[in-house]
Amino acid sequence: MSPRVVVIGGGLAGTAAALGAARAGAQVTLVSRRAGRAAFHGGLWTLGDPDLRPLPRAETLRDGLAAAVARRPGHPLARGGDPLDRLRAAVETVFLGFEAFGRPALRLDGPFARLVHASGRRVRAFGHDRRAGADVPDDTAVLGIEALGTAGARLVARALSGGGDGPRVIALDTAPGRGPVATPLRYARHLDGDDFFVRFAESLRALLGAGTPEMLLVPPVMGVATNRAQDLEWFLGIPVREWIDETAGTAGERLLRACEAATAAAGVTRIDADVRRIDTEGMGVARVYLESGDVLETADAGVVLATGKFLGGGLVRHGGAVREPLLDLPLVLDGAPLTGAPAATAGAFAESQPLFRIGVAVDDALRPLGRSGEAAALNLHAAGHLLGGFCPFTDGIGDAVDLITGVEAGRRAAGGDA
Amino acid sequence: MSAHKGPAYDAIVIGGGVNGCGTARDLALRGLKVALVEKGDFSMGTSWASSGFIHGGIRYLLSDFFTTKKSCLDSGFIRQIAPHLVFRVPLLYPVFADEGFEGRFRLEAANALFSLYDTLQPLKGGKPHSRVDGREVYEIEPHLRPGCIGAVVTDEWGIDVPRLCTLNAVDAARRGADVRSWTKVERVRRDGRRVTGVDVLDTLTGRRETLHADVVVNCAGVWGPALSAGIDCGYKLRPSKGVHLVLDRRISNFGVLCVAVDGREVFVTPHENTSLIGTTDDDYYGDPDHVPVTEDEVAYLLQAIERTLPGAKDARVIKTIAGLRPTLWGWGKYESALSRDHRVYDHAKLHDTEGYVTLTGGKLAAYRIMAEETADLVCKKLGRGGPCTTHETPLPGGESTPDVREIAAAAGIDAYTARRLVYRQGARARDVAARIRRHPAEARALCACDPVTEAEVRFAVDHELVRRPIDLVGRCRLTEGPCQGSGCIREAAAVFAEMRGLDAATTAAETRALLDNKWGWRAPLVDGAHAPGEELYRLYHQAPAAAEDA
Repeated sequence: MSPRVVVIGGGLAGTAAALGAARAGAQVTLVSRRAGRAAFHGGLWTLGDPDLRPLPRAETLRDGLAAAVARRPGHPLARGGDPLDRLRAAVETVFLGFEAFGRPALRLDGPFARLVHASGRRVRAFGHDRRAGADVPDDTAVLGIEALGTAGARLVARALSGGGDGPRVIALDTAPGRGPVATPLRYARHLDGDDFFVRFAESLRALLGAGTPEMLLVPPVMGVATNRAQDLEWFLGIPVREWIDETAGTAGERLLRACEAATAAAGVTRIDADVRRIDTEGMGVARVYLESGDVLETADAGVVLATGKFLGGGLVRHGGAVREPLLDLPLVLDGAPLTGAPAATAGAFAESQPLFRIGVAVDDALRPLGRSGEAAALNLHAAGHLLGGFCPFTDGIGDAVDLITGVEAGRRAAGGDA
Repeated sequence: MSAHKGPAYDAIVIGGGVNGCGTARDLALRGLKVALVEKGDFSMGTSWASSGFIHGGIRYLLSDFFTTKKSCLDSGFIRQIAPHLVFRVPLLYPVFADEGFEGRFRLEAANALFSLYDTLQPLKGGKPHSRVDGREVYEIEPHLRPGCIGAVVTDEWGIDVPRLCTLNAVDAARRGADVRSWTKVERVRRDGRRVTGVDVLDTLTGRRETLHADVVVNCAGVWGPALSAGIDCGYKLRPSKGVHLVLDRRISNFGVLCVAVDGREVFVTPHENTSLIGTTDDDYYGDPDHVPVTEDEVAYLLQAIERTLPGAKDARVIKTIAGLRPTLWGWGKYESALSRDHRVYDHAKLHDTEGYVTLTGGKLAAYRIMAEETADLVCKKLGRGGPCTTHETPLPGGESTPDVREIAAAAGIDAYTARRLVYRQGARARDVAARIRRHPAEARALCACDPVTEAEVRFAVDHELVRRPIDLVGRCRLTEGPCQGSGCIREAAAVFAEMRGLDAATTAAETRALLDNKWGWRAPLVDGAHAPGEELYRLYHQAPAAAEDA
């Protein structure tokens, strides 16, 4: 009989755990409540170089990951082998299931595509596309959509030009209607619809007229459920690339859909529910109680806790203390046991805040430690942002933590080695 | 004067709060050559942290009748020169059964006090108070906790203070004043018994310069004593810290006065599209540039409001505001019993130093009359300058208030957007509407919380002394709504960068400055329900912010 695994949390770490367990032959149930931080994914996979320097090579990635891990006491990737090798393995497991998302332009061996900085927006010409990038040709047009503001397109063009003339900017005034504020995500959803897409594409072709450029750069709004960048290529007959714009919206929604599609394709049973309580019996997790009233028996199953931090509900703060609400697992901050709750440190917004470095500590098998310092339960594993020891905002390798610990926890829960 | 290097003025005003901006405008209107120097943006200190009432201050009615009367009188003038910027705030003073005899006594006392206040209300166009019983009170404010036995209702005026300051500065500049924001006074120059000017540093360009003047006017508020001590013209204030909280929504129809745990009165009032809770009043001895807010202060204010309006628990605190009142010195009194009056010091009399005048103390509501007194003294010392006209000369946009429907139709924007535009820009909403007609794409709202159009932002950048993206907060309330800038910080910075041709590094630095500023006010709130909110905000903003450093 195949092993059973229950994964709690449907974000990136939970999805990685479910896929890792499924590929290890387990029969997997994924319990997911509303979208957490995955919905805010920017679409740029900052898996490797924490400093995001342009054109990092494999050795830079290896050094960058090692440096980010060494920087924090009690980092979840500190034990268990070279992080880059583990990342490669995790990426293979997870992104096999991510066809719907478009495999992220993550090329661990080759150069990253061109990174461009512009006005607080990190712009990457060839982000959300499964093909490898080439340089931007001189005769490139950058599309600004008036309903969303064209300042961004101008900044992209300016940044690509390196100060010279650079690509030309064209402004399209096609809008889905006179509604409230147009957000990129809403615009992308409208583009999923055939009628609006046809209107959009025809207006764009008319706007380009005879002067068809060699390449078109477009804002990252080319559909949520559909790949409208590809459709536009077919329609216009030229390469069309989205730039990556790290504000939340379209990319996060695409990721959530990809997570659902990937787990469904791997035969994972998905339950949309909040977890109310988890009971332990003896040395193991015995039952998971759902808000719906259903109970999952887990005494003979593996359990992966991938509930994230505050946004996901993995941690709660009330009064003067931070708690892990489901099992009251002890928490650590920077490698030391946490008592009370740390105050916010004043200073720059971009500085790491201790509140977000809090999490559970785990043993070599990714089992959360209980108060005794031993594993809290033998069949319980933890993954992703619930783990303490790294800063999800400033360290720049949060995705790597989700993918590696997710896949490894899933495999462990399925009874295998990482 | 011509022997010195650097420009010369009749008067230099230090400080771009409401007093400084008002005084500079007054002097410019009298035909004098004026400079206004402010180390940040206008209104960034005490004015920003005020409750935004232009009222008489019932609290001070008995202890300080003439301050109250003066404030009422001046409120009336402010309403005439900037009618678009002023909004009515009905105030409710409820009393509950469990407050016993003392509560009933307070209700009667409040009723009597408000009757006295009614005699001043016509000065500011206010309505007389009314008394409602325990049944009526729930009809007008259904969310009060049970057990209210009656209430007194009165009304006051609220105003957008950053815009009030800006409009005074803009008008001063329009009338020839040299208005310099983000310019720090490093030293007041003194030559023997005479103050001759100031050494200034433009904090954005790094340029240093000496400005000369016959009279230097110190409107530096709580920063004034330290500035003046440098030229042996020291005087004493008793600064008091006032903390406000902002909720993400309106939770009441009325401004509601609530009793805090220590018996003080605090209030919650609908303010723009948020609720404003205020305020504390505590002696402060620290650095005026960094006024900290403690978790205790947040809890104290929330406790008081939640006790009277339990629904406040459903709202989210989106920011704190802390500032210092430049209260006049007094010994042996509680903070709230200190006089809210103001003083105009002629340091020739006080410290035998000619050419130096200080305006300090006072209330927002009386800024115009205080500026008038100060300008009177400056003119007397100079022996030139015309009469004051600030009570009858409209502020920019105050000439007339356009019909909202007319603006909505002209610009092709919805009525709510137009309403907000007219509120901020008054008659100048027509100029913004004309801009949208020329560039229809600029009808786009940059902010979802408060529909600020791109055209309004561009208009402000062109016409309202904007030097940095952060200045747009005070011009258009960008980043001040429930999302605290999630939607608009980057958009606004991008528009500004494009208009002024900023390079990418400067734009990124300006974006960070805005994020840092918002975080500073939010940091005391990272508690309980705020932790997920902060995580969400950071997901939105911090990954790109960190990456920009690469």
